[in-house]
Amino acid sequence: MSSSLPTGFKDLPVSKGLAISTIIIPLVASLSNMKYLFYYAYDPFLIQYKQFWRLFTFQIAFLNESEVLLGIVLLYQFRSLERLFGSHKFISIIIVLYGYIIFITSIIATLNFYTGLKWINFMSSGPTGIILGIFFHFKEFIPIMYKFEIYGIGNNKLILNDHAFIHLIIFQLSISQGWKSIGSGLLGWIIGGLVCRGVIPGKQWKLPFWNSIQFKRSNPTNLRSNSPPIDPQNLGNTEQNNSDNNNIDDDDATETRPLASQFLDTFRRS
Amino acid sequence: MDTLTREEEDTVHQFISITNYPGEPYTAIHYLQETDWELERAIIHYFENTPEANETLNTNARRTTQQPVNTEVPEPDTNMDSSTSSFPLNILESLRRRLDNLRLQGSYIPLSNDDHGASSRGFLSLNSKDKLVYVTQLALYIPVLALYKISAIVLYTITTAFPFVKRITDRYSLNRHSSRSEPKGIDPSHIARNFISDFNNFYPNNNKIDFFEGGYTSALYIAKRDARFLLVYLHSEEHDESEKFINQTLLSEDFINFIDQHNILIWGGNVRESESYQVSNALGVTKYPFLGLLALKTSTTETPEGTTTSAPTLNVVAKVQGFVPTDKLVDKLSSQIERLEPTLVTIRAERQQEELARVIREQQDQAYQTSLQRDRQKQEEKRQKRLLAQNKEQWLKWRLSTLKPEVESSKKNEYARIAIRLSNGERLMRRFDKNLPIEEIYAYVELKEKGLLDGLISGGTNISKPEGFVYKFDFNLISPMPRAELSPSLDVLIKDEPVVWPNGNLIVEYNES
Repeated sequence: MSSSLPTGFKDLPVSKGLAISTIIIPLVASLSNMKYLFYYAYDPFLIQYKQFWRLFTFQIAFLNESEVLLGIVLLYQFRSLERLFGSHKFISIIIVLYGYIIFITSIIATLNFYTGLKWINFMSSGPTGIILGIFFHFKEFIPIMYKFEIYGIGNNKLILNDHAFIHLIIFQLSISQGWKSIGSGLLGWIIGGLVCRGVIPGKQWKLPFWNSIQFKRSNPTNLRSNSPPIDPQNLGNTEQNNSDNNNIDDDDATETRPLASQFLDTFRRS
Repeated sequence: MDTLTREEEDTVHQFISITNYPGEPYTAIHYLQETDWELERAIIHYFENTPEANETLNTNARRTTQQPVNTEVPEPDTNMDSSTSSFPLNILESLRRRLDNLRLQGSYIPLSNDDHGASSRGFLSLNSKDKLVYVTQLALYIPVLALYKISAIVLYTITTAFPFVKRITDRYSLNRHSSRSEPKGIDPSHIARNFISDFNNFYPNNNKIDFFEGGYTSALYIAKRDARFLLVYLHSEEHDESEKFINQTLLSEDFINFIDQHNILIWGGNVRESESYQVSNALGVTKYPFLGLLALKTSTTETPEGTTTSAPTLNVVAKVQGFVPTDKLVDKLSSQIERLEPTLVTIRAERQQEELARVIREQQDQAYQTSLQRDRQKQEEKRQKRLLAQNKEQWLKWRLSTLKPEVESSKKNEYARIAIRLSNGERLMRRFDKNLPIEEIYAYVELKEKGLLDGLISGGTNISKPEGFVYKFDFNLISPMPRAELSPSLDVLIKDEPVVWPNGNLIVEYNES
């Protein structure tokens, strides 16, 4: 049996979007010299310049290349979670994690404001916390497929499984900005755990208007999904469009059709 | 073992080396025969059917994971599990037990020579050095123990007061179990049964869907063997559409009738289990809930020599991903089934014929074997008989040459006068040496009966005694009055036998047989 998911992002729009934005946003930001948008620090940005929008932006983009790379590798691995949850639930969980991290950060900021302390001044830029939160879900739901042993000198033996590499990458990601990223990683991990176990609300929350977003998105795939029945494409959400098309075809059957569609129809009806 | 082909022999060796098969190698063959020499299935079959093997597998696995722990110095947490949940009752008692434990395991500072009985004799009877050690130990252990007990109490209180804490820390909650499922010694049919019972519990349906109770591999095997359609259902309990799909599509009457009608084998698995997860990867699933239709398919290739049809292989012929209404699903599956049903029917017919031919051949074989065996037996019997006759003849000749001549009547008290009546009524009178065994009389009678004595009495011919051959006399010598039987013994001498010493009267009586 093959040990990995089908390659690519077929039927996994959220992972695809996240992976693309993880590359594109830092690229555009560094090209247009706008990296400063994604920094966060309580002092001076919040207390002195009153730039509260920074609370919402600091998780959007990684600011150095190695983190971008690690983030993409991890998001690519986590697409098996999207397959398991379904896109809707997956994006909802990500948004919940994003919200909770903002919430905790602003609580710390409020605490600092009222006490006059400067406890946790910086947060690491980029979705380290979110990725760690998803990672908790990953560990919880994705089974281990195989184990292997590495024999060292003497009787020493290291037993690893297929998740070990992801652990390694997670470790690399969370130490990449020193204490800042360790802190936000830990925060994301804890929040992910609490959400996953249902201790704090958010697991059941769903992104509203999902269906309308889906419909708009799936319209262009119509043509593709009419291919021969051996390879079903998007039977789920595009089903209605399909059936509409089929009906139209049946109505038009008596009329003269253009050559191309005649051609296509012979294959369609096989 | 000798009747196997080289390939099969290799398979048997592999089987034995993988399963650590304890018995004789030839006894392992039937596992492979039952599964048509498919190694993987034979191994699964073996572990499913022999609980001991499964047990040893599990203990082996456990041993490999625990070995490093065991070799270390034992930590004082042997009864950790019981004390976290129960209230600490007797600190001193547990301390004493712990100390004894440590002492037995011999893992602390060496004491004086007679330290072994120290704890049993009590504190007062210890000598001063032992006392010192004992007190030092107490002083060292009490803080640690107290801390441990206190933390246990605190944790206990917290978890009772705030039940939700348990949910965070609990390593054995409901979803914990299945998510951490690793390929262990658990057999696949066990997982399948778990899935079926979970499915029926969450979606009450009176077992409407008859899921296959076994691993994916064995489901594939059955689909292949019986040339049936196999429907693979992959279930993700976390997916939003699963519930809708099951309630509206899978459990609908139409779908169930459809499955029954076409005799489709259906296998289901939860993708949180390792096996199902790998199945989903192998089938290239991109979206749950997933239904995949597998069937035997022959592929035809056109070559310049003509069309060739390959052997039937199991292929995915239809995939249904995501939520689909029942009629769509049935439409989609039935179009494929209609297309492929003829192939399967032919395959089934072929298989049946093959099977029939095989049975007939087997019967013929068996008949041939039995007749062969009968012939062999006959031949063997004949050979035995011939050998026996040969030996007898040789023995008689030998005995003739070694028969002692009759004693002269002048030697008084050296012979026994014996009158013998042969089976044909002839009466004989002969004097036997008193120092000869009784067997001599028998031999004489036998030779007389066979008419061999009439020729030369003693021969210089060097006929050796047939080796390992014991001549069986087929008659008995009977003394009529009082009736007594004389046995042809080599040990008893004539002078010791009152029936014939100093004179006797014997009748030859042939055995019935």
